[in-house]
Amino acid sequence: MVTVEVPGDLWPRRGDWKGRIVSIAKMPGDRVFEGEPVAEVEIEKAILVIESPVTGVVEEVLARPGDPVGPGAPILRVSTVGEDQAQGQAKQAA
Amino acid sequence: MEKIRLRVRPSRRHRDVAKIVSGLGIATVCEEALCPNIGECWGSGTATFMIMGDVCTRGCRFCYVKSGKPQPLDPGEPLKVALAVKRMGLDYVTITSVDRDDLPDGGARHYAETIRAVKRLNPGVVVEVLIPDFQGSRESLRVVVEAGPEVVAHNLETVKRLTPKVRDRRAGYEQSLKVLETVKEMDPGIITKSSILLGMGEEPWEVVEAMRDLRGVGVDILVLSQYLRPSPRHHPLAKMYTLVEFKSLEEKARSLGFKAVIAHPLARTSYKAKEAYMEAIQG
Repeated sequence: MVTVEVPGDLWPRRGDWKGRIVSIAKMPGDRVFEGEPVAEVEIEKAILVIESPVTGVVEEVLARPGDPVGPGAPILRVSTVGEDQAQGQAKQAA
Repeated sequence: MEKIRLRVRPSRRHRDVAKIVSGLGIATVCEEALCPNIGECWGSGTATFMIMGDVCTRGCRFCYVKSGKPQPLDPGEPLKVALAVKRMGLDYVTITSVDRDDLPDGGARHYAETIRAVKRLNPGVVVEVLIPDFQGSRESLRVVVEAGPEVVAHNLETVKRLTPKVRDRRAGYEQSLKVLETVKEMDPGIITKSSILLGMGEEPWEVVEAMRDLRGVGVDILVLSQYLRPSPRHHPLAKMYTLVEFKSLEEKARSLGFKAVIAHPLARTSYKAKEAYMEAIQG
């Protein structure tokens, strides 16, 4: 299980910035792919498009639009169980 | 106004850079100013070092760097920066700082020691420094110039009319122009550079006036970029420029004689610094 978070290490020395969730593109049960945008967080300077670091299935959505967030805030919990097997089967089929 | 969208997913190289700078305990302006390009720059293995601490004695109303009473200088910092440059394998290094009005020389000697340490440990490296105004002190500027940086940048930041509104009261439009003029006069071989942030309420003719003023003191490289308000307590954003407007201003700047121009919403003084330098020395 992997928790997709607002990156806490984007500006590592500054942990004091704040934003709010604008949108979340996934629901429980949705498949998500590594690098796929899953949420948008608005900070004063910009809108941060948060990408999933893994491929898997969304188990739980941990934030809602409008929620105030900061570095490291959890957004989704993604199950990666069986992903190695699924990827192996996909390669064999190809 | 539509905000800029940034895809953010720190890469392995981003984390490698973070390890090097945090391991050595040095600051970067990339982090301190919440630079929107950090993913691109750190992802390609480069960073802009920020020396003399992370607390600035000035309080410009567009800048996110912390303001207040700064820490004592770290005498080991020049070597730490030199080591970071070596570990990152950089052949072009950009160094900036907070303003240190509390120090008699504004930190000029610390700059010089850092430039020399970087060059000693990294033969052949090109050094660009983005310096404060040192309250206009010729002596401080001479100390920095004599350390031999290839590029000296000092930012005008905004147009003349807005300078008292957005920059700290100790900064000045004329003073910044004088800094750039003095550096060029002390060493005409040094490439000089300056940035203007757009979107703080300036009129188009005022931008052209600022560009002319910079050319008037011999500035070689101009950076034009979009102001992005870092927090609600900072100077309000008045306008988001389009890419077409940036292109038009770039053409105007080139027609005024700048040797290199970086004009883009996300451009910052150190953004694509090596490319701008190469263009300037070839032009």
